[in-house]
Amino acid sequence: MERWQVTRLLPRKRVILAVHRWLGASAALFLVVLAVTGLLLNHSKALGLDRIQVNASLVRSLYGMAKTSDILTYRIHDSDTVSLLQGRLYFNGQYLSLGESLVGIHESESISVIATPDALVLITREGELIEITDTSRLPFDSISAVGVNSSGLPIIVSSKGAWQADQDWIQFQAFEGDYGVRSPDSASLPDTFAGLILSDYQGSGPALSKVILDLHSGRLFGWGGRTVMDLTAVAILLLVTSGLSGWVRKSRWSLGK
Amino acid sequence: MYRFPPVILFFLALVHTAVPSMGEEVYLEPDVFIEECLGASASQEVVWLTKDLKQELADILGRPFKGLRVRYWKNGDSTAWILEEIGKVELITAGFHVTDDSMQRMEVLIYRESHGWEVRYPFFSRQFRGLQLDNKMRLSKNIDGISGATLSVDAITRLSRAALYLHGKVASD
Repeated sequence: MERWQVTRLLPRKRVILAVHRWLGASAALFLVVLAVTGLLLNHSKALGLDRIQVNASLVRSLYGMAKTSDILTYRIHDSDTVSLLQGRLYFNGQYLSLGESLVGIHESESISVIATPDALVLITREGELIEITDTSRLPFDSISAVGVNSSGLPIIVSSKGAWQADQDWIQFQAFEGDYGVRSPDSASLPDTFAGLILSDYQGSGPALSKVILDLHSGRLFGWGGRTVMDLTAVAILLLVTSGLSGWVRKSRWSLGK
Repeated sequence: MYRFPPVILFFLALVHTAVPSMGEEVYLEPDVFIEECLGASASQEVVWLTKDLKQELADILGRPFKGLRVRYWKNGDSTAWILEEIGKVELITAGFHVTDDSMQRMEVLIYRESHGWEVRYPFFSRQFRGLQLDNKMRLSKNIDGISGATLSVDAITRLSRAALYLHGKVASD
């Protein structure tokens, strides 16, 4: 094929330059992000980016991490709190035990009890763990509530009926009489406790190098971000092509001389 | 060409039966274990842990013991303990039957790890029969390990020492 024939296959120089200009302007921001994050990733170890943790609420929400509003909190012992986050129980922000949900609280001077559907968590007035007794070691299962009978003794309501616990929560016997059930009172969680709980549950946030890597690939913003970064990569290929085409169009070589 | 599918199916069936599914596997309910060991008349008791007792338990388990008391079942001179320990990442629940400071039976009751489930087999649990604690809190006999289940074997061994130790404490009270 003659040189002039190659040149004729290309669009007009004005068109090529317009495409090049608009493509460059549109992709500029993303190209800058790609270049800067790429440079940072190349030197992330030297810069210590893997040792810096990002705890910003925006980043936490982008990674689907737990928020303060995800923590369910209940009042115990007048001024203490029992919190529940993703299957973990906390007393005043300190980890206590596993627990899918909280179905009842029984308070007393010696032993207080937090009931989950499949366990009784016994604690002291100060919140120290006494014992976790799961229902495989109890004569009942599927606990649904905790109450008291007319004598003030604790009653556990389960799928196998009501059961009365002794003062030390060691022996249980089936109970037939009247009893009252009270749902746990919701409470607000102090910020310091919320911080302790979130930190225990998910650490202090992802490493900065991980955030930069996910920004580089676009994964930080889900499939939309990934698609934008894919389009940016395609834009680089088109810019190279249109740049070379424009150069071929205007060079002397293209004129066949 | 029709010779391969049966071979592949046989291989898949073999793999399926050899590798148990992940998740909680209950081999024996704790209340059944207690009844088998102590009978229906066993009473439920607790041993309260003093500071020294907690320290001894922490030394045996190699980690701080969380909690102020341990529940157990008693019938005469025999006690039964349902104890839990982490193998690799999940809890293993095991039952121990002790009479006169001597282990009568060890049984893995609930297993939650994806590997190391071989500790539930009798060839392993039989080794615990007759074991006692020496004055250095060591088992009177070495427990043979299982290849690929080292962490689970270690966890069960630690728990058996804890059960013998706790039995000694409640028996002497």
